[in-house]
Amino acid sequence: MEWYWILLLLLGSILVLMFIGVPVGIAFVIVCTFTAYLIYGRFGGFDANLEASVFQLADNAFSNIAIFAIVPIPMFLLMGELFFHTGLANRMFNAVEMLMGRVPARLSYVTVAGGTALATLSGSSMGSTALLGTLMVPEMTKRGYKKSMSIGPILGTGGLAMLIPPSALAVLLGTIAEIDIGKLLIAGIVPGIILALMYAVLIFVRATIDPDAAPAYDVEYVPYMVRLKMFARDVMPMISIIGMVIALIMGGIATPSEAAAYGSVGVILLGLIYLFFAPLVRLLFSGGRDIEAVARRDEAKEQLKRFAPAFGKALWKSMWGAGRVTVIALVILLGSSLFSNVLAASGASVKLIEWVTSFDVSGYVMLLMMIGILLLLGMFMDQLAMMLLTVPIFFPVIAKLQFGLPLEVTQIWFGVIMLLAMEISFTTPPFGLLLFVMQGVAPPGTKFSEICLAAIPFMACAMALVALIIMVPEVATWLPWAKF
Amino acid sequence: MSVLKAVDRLWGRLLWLLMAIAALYVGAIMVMIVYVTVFRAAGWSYTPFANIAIEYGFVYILFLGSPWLVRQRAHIYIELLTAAIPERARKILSRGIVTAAALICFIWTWYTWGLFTERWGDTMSFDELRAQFNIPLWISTIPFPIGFFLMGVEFLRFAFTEEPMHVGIAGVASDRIELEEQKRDLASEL
Repeated sequence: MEWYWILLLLLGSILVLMFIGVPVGIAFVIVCTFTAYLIYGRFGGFDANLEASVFQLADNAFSNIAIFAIVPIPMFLLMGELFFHTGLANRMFNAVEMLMGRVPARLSYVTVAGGTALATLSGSSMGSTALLGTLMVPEMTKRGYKKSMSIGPILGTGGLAMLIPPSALAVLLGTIAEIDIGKLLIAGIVPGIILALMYAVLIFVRATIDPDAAPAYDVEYVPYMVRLKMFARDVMPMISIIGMVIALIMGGIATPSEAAAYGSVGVILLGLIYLFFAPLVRLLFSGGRDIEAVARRDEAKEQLKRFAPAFGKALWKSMWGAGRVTVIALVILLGSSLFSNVLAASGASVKLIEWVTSFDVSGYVMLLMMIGILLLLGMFMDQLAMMLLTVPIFFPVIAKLQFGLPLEVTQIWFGVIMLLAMEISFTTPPFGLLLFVMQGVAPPGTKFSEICLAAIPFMACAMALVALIIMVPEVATWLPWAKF
Repeated sequence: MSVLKAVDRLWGRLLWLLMAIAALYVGAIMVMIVYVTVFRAAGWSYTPFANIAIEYGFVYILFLGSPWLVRQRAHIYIELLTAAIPERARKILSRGIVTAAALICFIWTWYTWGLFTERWGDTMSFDELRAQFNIPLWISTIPFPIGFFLMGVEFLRFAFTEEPMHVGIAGVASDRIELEEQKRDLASEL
């Protein structure tokens, strides 16, 4: 059978199975098993052929899943879950809101600043969007904000979690594409910060043109010393955890796997400090017999009494949540290993690369076509499924195209572009995941079309960033190779 | 009928327990990494099996947790066609899909069980990538037949339940379930 028939059969049948509703992992197992049967089955009977193909695929799957490099996936997920369940996320978000003061479109900026920090620390765009949608949209609606200024920033910053470390999705992409995970994580930092700044500028411009879209209102004055204290107490420690993870990776002190594990330990320690040691210190050192001191001690006693069950529950919920998403990611890795295996064994991947590179078109045209395919797929499928389907084909092709960059740099550069394209597809109607998340948490009566319209300007920013990274690759590739 | 329900409830608890072990293993990975790095940095001797346990652990996490996720409709599948067709057609299609999924799971159960028994009987087959540890090859194979069997049973279960696996709401099923969990957590924490 010719390679293109094998490729068409593989991709076509996987897409059809996914379209009719077969679980993505199972769709890959079905198609790859029977393709492997055609490729490996040269031993005679049906039974022997099927046995040979399953044996080969199972061994290959084990080799691709039992690897240390995927440790950051569960560890970053655990870190994010701990961050939410210990209540540290709420604490930081409230502090950011207090710190912002009185400016027009204040709550939109709060959303971008808090959302970026939340998405970064949690690594979960879904969690961040759900939290911001629940906390901010009702408040913004009450203050007279238009939907474009309340829902739009949340959808925009939710997707930043894929870009700025710790991003479990970036680790999965690095694992499937077999590229340096540490460098890919670091490469997302500068584009992530630029994107957050672009969102802030967009809000400023819109609030200036149409002041009614986000009316200013008076807020309680908070003295600068109190703000400074709040920043040091409720924001800095959380940000320093992510700083520690990045510094460990960038400094070559720890591998991404080790840094990710220490990030989780860091969040647990912070949880212990805030939920146990802080009330303990208040209990021991709140002297005096006046009513306030007695009330402080009573409150501290109550917090200490609640600590063990609450902290235990937070740990368990975090492990459960991280475990659940890890299993889903591992199923995707299983499918990816089967798919790569049959692609390579059929010779289809080599032939496809030869075919693609035989055209006399610029590598950039190919790159744009790949981005287009990602955006198209994002309308209908989950990001993990998209990755599974496209990475084994796109990365070998990208490695053969000429962009004037060394191979490793090209792969990291394309990895960042791919993450951004998937971030944009996160909010592509009709099935963009974050649109559904937002509809789930937005106030009753919010139309799906309003959510889609609110997302468009923010997605345009992300697209502009993709264009910038294509034109100036150093935006993404400078930091991973920077010498300090 | 009540006996069947009781068996189903017990079976569900078993799957929950397996998922709980997978979740605890995620926490154990963090502890093992801290143990290895601290001992290495301090120059103390530590067991190199910790890294092996982490690597092998991923395969066990996958197959311990997957059956529970099938039961919870939490694997990634796309409801596009099933959201557009009439209810009767959706139920027929959904039952066809879960039967096909169960069939492929049982095919994998059968052949990987064969692979396991072959390796179990062969006392000289070891994991060559980690040759210094003499790990019998059957340890890397056993999660496959068990996991696929449990998943197959769970898929097949949906062929007989009143509400099929596909509920007919457009979107990605696992995402909807994660969102529901997030909302529940937020409601209890706010």
